[in-house]
Amino acid sequence: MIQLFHVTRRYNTGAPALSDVSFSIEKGEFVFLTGASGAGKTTLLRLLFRDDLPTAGQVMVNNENLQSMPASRVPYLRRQIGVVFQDFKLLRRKTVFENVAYATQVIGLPASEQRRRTYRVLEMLALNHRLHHFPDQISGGEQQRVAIARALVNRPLVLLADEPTGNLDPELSLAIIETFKEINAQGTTVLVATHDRSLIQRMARRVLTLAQGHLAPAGSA
Amino acid sequence: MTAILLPILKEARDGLTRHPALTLLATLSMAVSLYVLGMFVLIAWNVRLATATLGKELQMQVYMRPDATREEIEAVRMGLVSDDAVAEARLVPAEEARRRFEGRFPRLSGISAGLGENLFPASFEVVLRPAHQGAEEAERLAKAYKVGPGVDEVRFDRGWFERLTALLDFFRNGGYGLGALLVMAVMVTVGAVVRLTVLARREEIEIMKLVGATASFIRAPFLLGAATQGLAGGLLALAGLRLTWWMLVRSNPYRENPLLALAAGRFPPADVLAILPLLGLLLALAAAALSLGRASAQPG
Repeated sequence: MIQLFHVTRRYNTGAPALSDVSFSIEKGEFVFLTGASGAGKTTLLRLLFRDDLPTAGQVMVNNENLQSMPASRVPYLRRQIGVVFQDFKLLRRKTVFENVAYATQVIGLPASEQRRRTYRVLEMLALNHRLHHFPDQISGGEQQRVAIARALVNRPLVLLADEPTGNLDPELSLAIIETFKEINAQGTTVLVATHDRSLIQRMARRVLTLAQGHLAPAGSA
Repeated sequence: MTAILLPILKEARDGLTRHPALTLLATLSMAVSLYVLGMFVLIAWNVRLATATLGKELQMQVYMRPDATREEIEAVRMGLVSDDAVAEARLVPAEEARRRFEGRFPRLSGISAGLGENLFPASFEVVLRPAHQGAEEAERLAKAYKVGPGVDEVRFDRGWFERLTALLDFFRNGGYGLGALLVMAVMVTVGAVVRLTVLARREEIEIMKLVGATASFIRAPFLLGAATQGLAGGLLALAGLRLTWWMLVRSNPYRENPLLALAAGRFPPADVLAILPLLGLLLALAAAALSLGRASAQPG
């Protein structure tokens, strides 16, 4: 489902954010991406939904080479990928319900299906009491769950999550990861970037470790 | 279709109502620039009416001899009406000329009646077309018709012709220049306002792209919103213009200064002033399309 071949990404200054990173993730896998702050986790995730392009190497998602993908195809790639952003990236002028429903609107679902899916995912994430609140009116943890709900609402082929439990208490963190497991069980490939070692140890899933832009050998995490 | 169209309409509405300060500021800025243009249209339209009336003052008279036959008068009339420079050639028969004299100088009416025969010859009042209202053109016509059949004399005031045509040219050419300048100012203002609106919502556009919205799905509500603001700005300008005119024609300076009546005596008709909302709509639409071009483009 996801393949990286000798991917390097340099900053404008020339310093490498990622250096010669190669790995593959099979369809239906659940993988953690870990590493210290600044190790290159967010940069790597951005390459996977083509928010950025590598300086060298190839990135393949769902058998599509993202470098040669025409710009007009990018929205369709992104509709297959649910992304939970570290800074949530919620639309400030839209309510919780509208933020999540927006993802269903862009794919042109009928209005009734948009509502059904949105209510369902918000209920799953215990946000049904916040439907008509704006992001600035809810807590950081709730904003994070709205971002997760938006990523899940279109039942994506791939779910990318950048520190999805960063603002949540341990109990809620576990609940979120359980949700990801359920989504994964339904066939969605999940890649979670986190530096929460306890969470990774509890889950016992494959781990990719980045250190200063390099991928550490398997088993060294 | 409705699954795509309804969200776009809703998005456009939300874009306007959920950024009230931005919407108000943008609409008012457009309204002010269109109002200034509207003031120019109001004055230009009135001056145009006035100059058209002045143009009619640029008359020349072709006097026929008292013994001119009907055939000669008709030949001169035919010559005048078929001349490219002539807008109107009105025959004033001898009898009407006498009536006019008696009307204007009632104390002298007894003299003309006492003489028995009509001292006032038939004549033509010739009005020139706007493009031919020059002293040279009048000179040419005078020379040509002076030797016409049954013509006694051709009269026109060369000095008056020159002063009046210079004045008309000044208003026409100056009007075009000032009009073009004001349209450019409106274009710059509307363009800047719409660009600022798009910039203020750049983060929103980025998020929309990240969740898989196509460029057209992002652009459509912005274009609709900008067009609505442009149209509203134009209508506001129109309302402001009407109010200004209404207050002006009821003011003391207006009553005391005939020049004001000349410049703003009549309110232009709807088909002239429709230019304001139409221009607002089109310029806002064009500015939004340009500003969004880069902002909503997917990474290449």
